[in-house]
Amino acid sequence: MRSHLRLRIGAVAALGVLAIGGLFFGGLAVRRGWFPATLFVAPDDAHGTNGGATSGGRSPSGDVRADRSIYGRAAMRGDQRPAADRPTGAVAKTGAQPGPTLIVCADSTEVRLVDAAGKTQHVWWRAFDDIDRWAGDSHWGTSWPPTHHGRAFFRDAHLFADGSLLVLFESIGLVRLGVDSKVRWASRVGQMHSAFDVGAGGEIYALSRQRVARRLGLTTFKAPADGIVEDEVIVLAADGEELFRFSLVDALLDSDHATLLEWAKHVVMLDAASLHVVQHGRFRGQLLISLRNLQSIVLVNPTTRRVTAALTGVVDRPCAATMVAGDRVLALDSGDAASVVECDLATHEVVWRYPVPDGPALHVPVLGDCQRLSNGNTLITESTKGRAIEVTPAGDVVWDYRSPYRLGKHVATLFRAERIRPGSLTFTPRAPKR
Amino acid sequence: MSGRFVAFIVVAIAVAGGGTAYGIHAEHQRRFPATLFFDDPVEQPKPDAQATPADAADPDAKRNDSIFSLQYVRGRTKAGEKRKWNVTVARPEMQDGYNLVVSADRTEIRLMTLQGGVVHIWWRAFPDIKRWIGESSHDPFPPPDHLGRSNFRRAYVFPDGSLLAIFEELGLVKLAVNSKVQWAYRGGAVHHALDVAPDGTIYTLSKRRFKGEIGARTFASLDQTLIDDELVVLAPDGTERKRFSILEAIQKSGRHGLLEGVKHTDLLHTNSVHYVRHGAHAGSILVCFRHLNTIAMIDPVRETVGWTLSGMFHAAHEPTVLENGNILLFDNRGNRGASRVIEIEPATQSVVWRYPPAGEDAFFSATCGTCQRLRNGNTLITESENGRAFEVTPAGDIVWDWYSPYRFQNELIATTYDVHRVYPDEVRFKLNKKP
Repeated sequence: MRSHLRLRIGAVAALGVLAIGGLFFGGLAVRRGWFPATLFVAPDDAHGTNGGATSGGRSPSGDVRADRSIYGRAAMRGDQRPAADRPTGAVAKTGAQPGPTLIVCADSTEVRLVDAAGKTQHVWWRAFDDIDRWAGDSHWGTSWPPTHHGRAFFRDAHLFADGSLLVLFESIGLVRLGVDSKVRWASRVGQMHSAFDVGAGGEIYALSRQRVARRLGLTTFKAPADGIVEDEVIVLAADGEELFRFSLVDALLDSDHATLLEWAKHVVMLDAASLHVVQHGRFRGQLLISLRNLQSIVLVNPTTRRVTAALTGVVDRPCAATMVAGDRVLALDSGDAASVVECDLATHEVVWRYPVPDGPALHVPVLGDCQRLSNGNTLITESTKGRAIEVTPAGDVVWDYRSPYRLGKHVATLFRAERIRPGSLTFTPRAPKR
Repeated sequence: MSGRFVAFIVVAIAVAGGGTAYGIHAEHQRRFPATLFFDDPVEQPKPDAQATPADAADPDAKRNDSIFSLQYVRGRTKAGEKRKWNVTVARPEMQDGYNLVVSADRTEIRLMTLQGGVVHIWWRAFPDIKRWIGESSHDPFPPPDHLGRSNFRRAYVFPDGSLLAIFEELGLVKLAVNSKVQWAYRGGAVHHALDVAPDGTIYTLSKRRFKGEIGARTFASLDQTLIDDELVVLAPDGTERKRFSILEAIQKSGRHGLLEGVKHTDLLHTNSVHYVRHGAHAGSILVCFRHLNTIAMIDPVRETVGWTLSGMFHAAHEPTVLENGNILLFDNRGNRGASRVIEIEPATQSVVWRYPPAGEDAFFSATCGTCQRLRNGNTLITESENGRAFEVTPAGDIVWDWYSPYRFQNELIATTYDVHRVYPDEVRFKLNKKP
């Protein structure tokens, strides 16, 4: 009798241990990207509503469990399981800006050039493992090469007239590809993320991020003991050699806008989300940078390395900010009630907004992009929906692109769709052979 | 293998699988036990979590119930034997006129000569006022022992010698030149500042307490009482024309991004009101949100917030729009922790003038502080907590310097809330004192 009882108690105890062990194994599987967690998609909310702030107390440097470090799997996978009959391709109407569109998507390490009908005209492709020579000192340090999910896709791209392409492996580095996708150079300085742009002289400005311990002397923000996650700008020459870098926190501290840092609430103090080199007008040569965690879009002079102006509180979660004609700022405000706003930098007056009143809503909970076209229309990317639309100033959709690219059963996040000006390319796109 | 053993294995696999599945779910949804291992504060932003250090560092941060519940604001520093007295510098370059002095020592407003002589006094004790217009938010009114009864916070003098004066958080009174009460308004809880438009409309501030969320992702009230400011619009006879929530004006204007800067339960801490007489924003009210380090234009007709500027000053007061369109303000802590007065060109967001010059620490007032650009181009600065006012030229030379002789509780320098230069052509009444 006693032995039976002992057996039963032992069996129950074993089951209890299995249950608890399973619990913790499940959590660990999510964090490490192990089976069976890979079968499930984390809801967007699990990564926070603050875009890049989900790193929280985790250092992006050397963190090989970096599926959540910037955007997480959900952002790669998009937030929709497409219906079997979901349309793909593009519909173009009269009034759409002519020219091909550069598509940067999370499904693979490919960048595509598509025509107005969505048909692929040219593809650049390069696997991370193909690149055997990287220049520069990465923040990954001894964790190089990173097993980060940023190896699996390009986060941003810049097309040159000759067909060469700059691409960003998220949190890893920049690579210059020829028109034939051959690697010209690869730079892994810092920990480049989210966005970069090319100046008039061919120099490259990229966002980077690292964890640093520093005292800031702020009144309403106390930096954690193990440091803040600080955004910086890295400047590279056209051949990928690092010229210099500077901290955006210092760019604020050394400027007349230092008190903006008092708005900080997260260990990722700034969360720089976009960088645009102003090519014309009064602020030509300056960098327009979105700081999501300060609700600010700032202008930074890369020569003095100081913030020269700031637009704060006009756009709640700014990203994809660019300077358009009239020294106005075009920016995407992501979140539950996403919108694209055009704001006068001097008066802070919002002169244009999409969606228009009573128009269809934009779906951009995270990421997203916007581009003012030469015909006055605006190209808007709904990233997690895998969709890009071109809208007129009146709010009419004249081009509607639905990405056909998938990650498993999910729409692959469309990071960016960029319209290329007709006649600006000097190479002949070559459609991939099927 | 016995049937029982097989059944046990099956159950064990089911239990392990169920545990794993729940573990995955808990990780995604941030439920127990996953919450044991999360170290990033993402899900529930704690109000004032980052402001907690500020509560210790910022003496203003604790006073949600009453701005002046702590006596040190009426006087912080002992005068000491070496304390300077009255006017110590008076050079020919100073702007001619009188000084309207608002001091925390008692319920008196003094009009003084540039040599420090008092030529007119307005005086009224709080208990003397029997009839009040409007509904106060205090119950009972006045609250027992409220320190706002003991001094005037701010004043405005009309050319006929009548005077508006604020009993902090209690009300606004209009006194005749002989100090008789013309009317007294107590709507809400009037505080800090007032201004008068050319048509005689009076703009001031009130505050309201409420519970609820403000629609900010990074600030949760957690059922705490919050303080919102209101813009009050009065007719010249003290009748309330309107009173609207500035928080709601921000929300109505779609400027939710501003609210993400909130860290205190005293959400905005609006501390100034200026009727804009010049430029593109003429007719708007320029206010300062101290706790957001932001100044903003409010349209009092549409009850909306338009242009704002943030991050160029720290815990500032008294922004005003000059004739050239620039903005002058008292920047309490923006000079590497010390104070300064700066003139900002809004279009370029550049500081075009400052006192003291960059790199120098000349004065400091943690709270209060005012500044006034004078007709001759000089700037009059009130270093409130030091009980001092001084006039500087554009080059930064001090041409007039005054140290308050007034004391709080005998030995503390009474806070000088404001010294305002009144021009001779603005004094059209008979003075009641000889200097």
